[in-house]
This record gives sequence, structure tokens and C-alpha cells, in this order.
Amino acid sequence: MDFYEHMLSRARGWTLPVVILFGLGVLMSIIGFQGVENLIAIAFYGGIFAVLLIYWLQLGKAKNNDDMEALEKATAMQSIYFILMGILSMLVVVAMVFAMLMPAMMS
Amino acid sequence: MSSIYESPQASGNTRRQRDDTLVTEKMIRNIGRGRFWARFLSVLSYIFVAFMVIAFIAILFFLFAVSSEEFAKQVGGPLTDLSSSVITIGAIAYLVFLVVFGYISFLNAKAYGRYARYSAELSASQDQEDVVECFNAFTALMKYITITIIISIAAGVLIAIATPFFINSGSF
Repeated sequence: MDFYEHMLSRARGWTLPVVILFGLGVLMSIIGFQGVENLIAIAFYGGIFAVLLIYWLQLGKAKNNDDMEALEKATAMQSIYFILMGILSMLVVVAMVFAMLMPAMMS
Repeated sequence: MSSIYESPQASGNTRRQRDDTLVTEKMIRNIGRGRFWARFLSVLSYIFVAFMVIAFIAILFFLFAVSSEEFAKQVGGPLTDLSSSVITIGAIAYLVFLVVFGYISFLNAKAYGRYARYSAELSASQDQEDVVECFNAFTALMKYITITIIISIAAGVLIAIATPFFINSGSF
């Protein structure tokens, strides 16, 4: 096994539990569906889950077939993950700041 | 071996050859796209860790500087021996949680930063080593996210189990 295969095996191995955990998150959000809040949670978990699942599949393709195109797609998935997580984290921070300022603004 | 008189054929094969480099133009572009957000997430994670350090110091202050009587005044009632020890155990458990969670979050922030740094170096050098480092940073990130989620679930289950015990002990 050369370093390339070793790198992809490690990447695949550590991505799988995250995919499973986010998949469970989507499933639990669907089961306990209550309203708009759950829709946001489903969109959040669903988006991350889809990106990481595609990343995991592309890594498998790259490892088994030595496919450079799959590796390129995997790097695209990495950047989509960062963009998605970044935007979502920013929204969470804005919501938290808004929630803290809200009582002061109301009084 | 093919004949030298044979016409050259274009290959649609995208398979990596053993001596091929891992770097392609598209890969560099793709990795570069996530750089800003990786840096942003790194800074955000460091801020999160700073808040955890503040919470840690506050809990330590509560444990050592605030006496049981003062706390009883805050809660609004006399503290029994049992309830004060339950609160102390709860605070120590929270401290342990903060240390573990804070450390993992710190490693997480470092992995985000590492990805951003090697992504910037890749744009300049176009070196295969930087692609490998970006992949390793992303893998490390996946590892810490898995650990973070598992710790969060374990903490949630522990809190769910401990809450009735806290309420029954008359602490709150």
C-alpha cells in the first residue's frame, strides 16, 4: 500500500462515522418533526450529510480505481463542506447575538 | 509492445499512474475555494475555546471562592449537606467536560487553521506535499468532529440521567 492509498484509507475511515452520525441526525429530525425549527435542522444535517457522503464515495472511487477525477471531486466536496459549515456557523452566531440583544431592544 | 507505425491514440483514461503527481489545476482551484471559510471557522473555533476557558475559570471560582451559605442565598434556601455535595460533584463533572471538550475544540480549530495554511501554500507552490497535508488536515477534522459528537451525546445522556437525582436531592 503506497502513501496515496494509505492517505485515502485514513480519510475514508474517519469520514464514515461522521456520515453515520449526521445521517442519524437527519433521521431523528425527520422522526421528531415539529415545525420550522426541524426544517432548519433537516436542511443543516441533510446538507452536511450529503456532502460528506459524496466525499466518502469519491474517496472510495479514487482509492479503488486510482481515479484522479474522483480525487478532484473529493477536493470540491471539501471546499463545499467548509463553505456550508462557515455560512451555517455565521448564521448561528448572528442568531445568538440577536437573541442576546433582543431583550435590551424590547425594553 | 505496439507498432511504431500505429497512429497515436488519445486516451480518455483518467487513472492515476504510479509516478503521477497528485496535483491538478482543478484540485488547486477546489482547495483554494474553501480557504477563506476554513480560516473563518478556525477563528470562530478559537473564540469558542476562549469562552470555554472563561466558563472553566468561573466554575473554579464558584468551587473555591463562593461558600455554601452564599450559594444558598443565591438559590433561595438553606443547603443541606447532601445537596451541597451533589452541587460540588456536578460542578467537578462540568469542569472535566469543559477540559475534554475544550481540548478537542482547540485541536479542531488547529486543524481548520492547518487546512487554510496549506491551501494558501498550495496556491503558491503547487506542490503535491501541500495537497497531502490538506487531505490530512481534513481527515483530522473528521476525527475531532466524530469525537466531539460522541462526547456531546454521552454528556446529554449523563445529564438526562443525573437531572432527576439533582432535583430529588433538593439542590434546586
